[in-house]
Amino acid sequence: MKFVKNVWSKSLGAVGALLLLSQRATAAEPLPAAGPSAATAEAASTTSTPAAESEAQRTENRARDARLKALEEQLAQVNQRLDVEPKSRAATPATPKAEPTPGPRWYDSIKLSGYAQVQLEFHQDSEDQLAPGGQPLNQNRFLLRRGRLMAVSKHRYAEFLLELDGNTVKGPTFGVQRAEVSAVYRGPEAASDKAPLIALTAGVLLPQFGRQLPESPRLRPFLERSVASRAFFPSEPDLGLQLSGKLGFFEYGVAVLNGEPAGQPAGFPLRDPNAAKDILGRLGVAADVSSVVKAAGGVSLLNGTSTFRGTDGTKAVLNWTDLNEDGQISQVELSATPGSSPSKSSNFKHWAIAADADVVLKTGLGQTELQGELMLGNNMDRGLIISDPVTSGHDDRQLGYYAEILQDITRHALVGFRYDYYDPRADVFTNKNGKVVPTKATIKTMSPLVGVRLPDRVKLFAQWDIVRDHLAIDARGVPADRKNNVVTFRLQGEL
Amino acid sequence: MSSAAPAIACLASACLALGCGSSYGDGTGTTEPIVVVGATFNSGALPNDGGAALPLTTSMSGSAFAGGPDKTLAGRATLSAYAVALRLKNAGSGYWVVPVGLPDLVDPGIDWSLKFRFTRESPLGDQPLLAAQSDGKGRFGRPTEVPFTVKSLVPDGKKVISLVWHNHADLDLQVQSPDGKLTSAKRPNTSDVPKDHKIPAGGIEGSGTLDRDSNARCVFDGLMREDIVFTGDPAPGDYLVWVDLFDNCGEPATAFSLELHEDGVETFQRVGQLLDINADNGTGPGLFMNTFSF
Repeated sequence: MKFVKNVWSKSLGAVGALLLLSQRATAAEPLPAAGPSAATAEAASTTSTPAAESEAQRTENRARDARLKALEEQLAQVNQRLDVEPKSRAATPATPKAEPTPGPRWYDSIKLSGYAQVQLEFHQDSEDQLAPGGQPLNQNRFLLRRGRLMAVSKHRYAEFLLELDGNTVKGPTFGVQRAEVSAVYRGPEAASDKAPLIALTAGVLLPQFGRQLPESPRLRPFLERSVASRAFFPSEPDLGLQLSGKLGFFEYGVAVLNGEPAGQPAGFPLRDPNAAKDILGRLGVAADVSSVVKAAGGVSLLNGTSTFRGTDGTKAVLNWTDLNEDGQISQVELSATPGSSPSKSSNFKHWAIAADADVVLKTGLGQTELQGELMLGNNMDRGLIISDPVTSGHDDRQLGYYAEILQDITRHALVGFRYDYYDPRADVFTNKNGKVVPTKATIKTMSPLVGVRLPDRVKLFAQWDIVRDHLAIDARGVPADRKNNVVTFRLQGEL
Repeated sequence: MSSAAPAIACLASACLALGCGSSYGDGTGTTEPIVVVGATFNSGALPNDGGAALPLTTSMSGSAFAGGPDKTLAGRATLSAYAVALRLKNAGSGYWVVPVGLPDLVDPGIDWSLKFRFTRESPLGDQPLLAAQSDGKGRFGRPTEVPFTVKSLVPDGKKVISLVWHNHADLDLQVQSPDGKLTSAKRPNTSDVPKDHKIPAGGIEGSGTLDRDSNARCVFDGLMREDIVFTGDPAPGDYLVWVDLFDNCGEPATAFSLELHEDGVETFQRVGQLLDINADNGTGPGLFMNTFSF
């Protein structure tokens, strides 16, 4: 269609130009039939002889005739083209009408992002052996710590998020890290990318507790969360319902969850063995104190219920005890171990409180960040030295804190240091029932860190974890420091 | 108040729809102090509609271990009986119902028999049972009381050193006696055995004996306890006690309790915990727990 329009416009333009040219020629060169007044005027203005004049007149007439002839030929050609044009238009197949511009499609609002963290680890307690049960004791290895792909779709009143995670920490695994459906209110006339004033989120979500738990590992320079945070929440996601938002300086989040986070070595990850639900939340503030100082902080609370696993019943079995230590079976050494009834599961309460603070300074060297967090828990260890108040007969109390500093060295590098303390049996209040645990079990970790930001969204980190703990048993059977320092090199690439 | 009304109405509707309780009705009864094999659990007190009492109720023994093996209770019911109900008189939240057998046409009546066990949740000491028959209309007769004594799994002995835990891990109790001998599953006596391997009648004087290797090789036995039993006075001296995690058997952490019972009375308890990284297949030292001086 455009083509036809162009041809027409060009043709008509040519005709117009031709007619204009003709008019000019008529005006500039009066024909003999122009009338006596013009001839009179011209004769009056002429000063040459009559012979010369007639010769010039003839020359001029010949030239004019030649121009007229040329113009007639051009006009004939134009007429010929105009005659041909309707036929060619009729012969040309109809060009389809242009499609109207499509409206927004459902996938237009989806934003994809992802990152992969591949690391090389060196563990001081690594051995080229297998542990009882067959798990490898060697930990000096390459490891895909996290490979995550996230799709987010934000709308005015709703948000959807799906994050998948693959890793090789305990062999190749792949699963859902987050799956959130949110109803949001961002305020009147707010854009869909503005942080919601109120968001009601359901699904596999990141609870708001402390600073590290809801923080993306993609953004955290230190390679893992603090020991206390990992003991309380072996993995970040849990299932439930969360109300969160940002009101001016304030950030808030309150969640009702199953209380069984993913990644628990014991327990029931992302399931719930009891009807009681955990309630947890955080109230925080974040503000730009000045042009060079930002500050943030908050307090968090958790109250919930855990379940102690009962055991199955058993059938009777034959038991041999080599009473006379001769390695031979005799009749008196045989006895029956009777079948036993199942032991019941039981619930117990747990709670935790936490306070966190974060200060960021902009200096000539780059950004300086100071961060700290304090956590207190009761029967909260679900990942490391697992709380078992049923067997011990008293509640286990935990204390953990960390302090860290991060310093940018220009835009391309950073250095950091973190001191991390965790006591899984910090009886900071009182003993119960007069029962005490045999030893302290504190874990102190000092972690220097170096990071480099490479072009094309690639980061390289190196972290040395110097660990002082009581996880080993010395020759006397007394808890001792386990030689388990770790050096990790991590390469992180981002979409 | 007005805004809360719809929420309350919704909750009430949901309760009506779901029954607001366990989806198992009266529950499975697995947390009761007694469990009857093949019976149905009903919550509440044992009904008494004034019907006929069971004519006969017998038991092979009058004592049992809490968490021990099944016991048999048998007897005779009237011809109108459809079922026999059983519960603990002074504990528990319900009763068990088991159907009776076929009627005896020669000697009018119905024989019945059931197997039950006292669970670990059962209180110790004298714990009488109540048994009653019910007829086809669900009317219960007067209950019959059956005396029973429930005993702890702690063995009888002058002094008993016990290790107790609650999961599938293979823990070992290790005791070093004053003469330096380390007691283990392979060498279950705290004192040296005579060279001819003949144990004198009444046992080796002053020696204790390890009663079992619980959860050995991760074969779950449900007992989860090991005891060193001194039937008489132990040989004097210091006894050093360790707890070794032979195999964690898939358990990430195992809490345990070390106890000393003297003449049936618990006189010492200390708790500890071992992690999966401490499992050593018996090659390393256990966790030192205490020294007992006898």
